[in-house]
Amino acid sequence: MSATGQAPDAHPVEVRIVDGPIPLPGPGFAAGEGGPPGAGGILTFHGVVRPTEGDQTIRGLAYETYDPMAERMLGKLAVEAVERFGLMGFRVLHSRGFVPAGAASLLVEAAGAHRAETLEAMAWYIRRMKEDVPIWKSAVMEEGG
Amino acid sequence: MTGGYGGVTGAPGGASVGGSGGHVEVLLFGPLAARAGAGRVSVPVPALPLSCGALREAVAQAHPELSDSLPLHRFAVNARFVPEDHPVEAGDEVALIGMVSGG
Repeated sequence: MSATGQAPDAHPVEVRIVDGPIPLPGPGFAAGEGGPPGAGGILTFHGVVRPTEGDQTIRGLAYETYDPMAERMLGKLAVEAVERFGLMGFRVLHSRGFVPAGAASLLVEAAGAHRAETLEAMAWYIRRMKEDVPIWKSAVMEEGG
Repeated sequence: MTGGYGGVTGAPGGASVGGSGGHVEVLLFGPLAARAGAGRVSVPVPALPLSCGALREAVAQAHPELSDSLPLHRFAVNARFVPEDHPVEAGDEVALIGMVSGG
């Protein structure tokens, strides 16, 4: 399912929670779509599941989401990022359910006129997401681990 | 910006009240759900509406195994974070949201 909207100044915001891993390179402004007209900086972040948790090898992570609040909060913060940093577009995909080690569970893409605002927006968004979006992850251990 | 799909842990919680009091089903997630051994708890309440602050005390009383963790959690009512004085009404969906760990 998807939540696609327009920030008040008509720049595109798209947020989706998807079941399982996010295919890479994945949909994105940088994946042949060109990006918003006039964008001079397109920044893409992939969050990838590490193969270890502490000193233990894991099979992957299981993501639990409180739906539909999780998607709504991802979207609320995305619109706020566009407004706060003057972006030209913002796209977020986050996984729900099992994501194996090495696969992506998060894609965030920010488009702006210049690189500075995309870099600042990315750091701000991911920090706020980890504070306010009701998503939890738990390690799935290797069998016998 | 709408969602509209299923996937919540358990069915939606809800608040209801009868002639001699009622109960509030509170949704739990992550470590708090693991501690409770369930994705929801039923909490007896004297009447509705009831503030989230009073509901927090009622949760601690009905489920003492959760009481240590409760100060670290925020209430969401109908999928929105709310302050402690927010009133829980009959039919509301109520959730306790602790430290999140997306990404």
